[in-house]
Amino acid sequence: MMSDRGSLTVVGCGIRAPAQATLEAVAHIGSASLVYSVVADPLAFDWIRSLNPATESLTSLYAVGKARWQTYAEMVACILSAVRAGERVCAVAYGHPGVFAYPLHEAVRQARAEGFGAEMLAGVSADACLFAELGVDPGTSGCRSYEATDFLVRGRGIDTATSLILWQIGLIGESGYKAQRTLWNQTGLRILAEILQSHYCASHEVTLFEAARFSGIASRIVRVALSDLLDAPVNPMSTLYVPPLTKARIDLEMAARLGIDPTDPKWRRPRPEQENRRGLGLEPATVAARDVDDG
Amino acid sequence: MSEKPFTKYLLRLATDPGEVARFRKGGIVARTSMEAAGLNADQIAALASGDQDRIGALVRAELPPQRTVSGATGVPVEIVCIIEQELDIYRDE
Repeated sequence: MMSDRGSLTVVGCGIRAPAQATLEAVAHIGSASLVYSVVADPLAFDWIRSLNPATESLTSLYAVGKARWQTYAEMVACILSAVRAGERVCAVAYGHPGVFAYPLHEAVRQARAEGFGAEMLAGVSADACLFAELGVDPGTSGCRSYEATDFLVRGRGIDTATSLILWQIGLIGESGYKAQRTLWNQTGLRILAEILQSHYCASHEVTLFEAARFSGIASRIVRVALSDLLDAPVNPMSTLYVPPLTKARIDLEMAARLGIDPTDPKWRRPRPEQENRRGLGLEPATVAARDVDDG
Repeated sequence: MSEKPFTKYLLRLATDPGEVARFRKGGIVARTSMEAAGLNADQIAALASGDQDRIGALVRAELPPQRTVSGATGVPVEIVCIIEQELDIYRDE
């Protein structure tokens, strides 16, 4: 049913839908007059459609050889067109709708600029899964997060005392897309490994992370030395976590200005490398696989 | 028996911690539960392997095509989840 005035709510269904969808996301999906899905996963799409039969997919706007920015513009145009027509639109994205999701930010911006009610609600993103499953607390050592190509071409710089997350290391330097599920650009990964090794030691252990898209299935967690990164099973979904190598020095002058005594035990912080090596790892699925295969 | 037992079982895993525990326990406990849910050998093997692409393909095989906006190109959706999270790096500043 259409209202007098259109509106837009952008939500995420998490990496593992529906388990990671928030209650408010579920409510907005269910109550919208029209739902646009930007979710590739068929399970997630089926679940969204079960909440609201008036669901259409925008993922089919992608096409081989078509500029992504054209696709994004079409997505925004499609969403805005429905809002202008008076629909209460809910756009649903994979993960967090505002993380690596230009068209949804743009749709909210344009809708607001045209005077429509528009908001984005937070969802569970891949880095949220990483923090939980690797046991990394960004509050302990800080955390820098970059898209891998952006990290390289803009020379973002490295602070070895801070956690570093690099997204999309499997498609460095790629502006289009390929059907292959394996590494897209070997040269890009080699250059990344070189840059990282110029700041960290070759034996510094890094973690490849790929959050599980299905509940019960283990996320893909592979730990390798930086020197072995090129031989690691990197794919287009891989995120690289580089733990801190060093501990940040305390600026004693600043501490004094703030009235902090760094020798006081109450200011003692945990060691920078707090990664939970136990986590879920690959163990549950591996165990299940072995046991079931053995009958 | 359900029309789409695999999809329903995955949704059950998303909402039932007890079933997740049985699944992760593996062995006869997991197999019995999956068989009771109507899963066939291929589906059970896919879940046991943890291969998400294989699981996704089996879900897709159970479901009707996604209803798409007009002008849809029918591009395979397997890789879209990567592209939709693309960063703004190639855009003019």
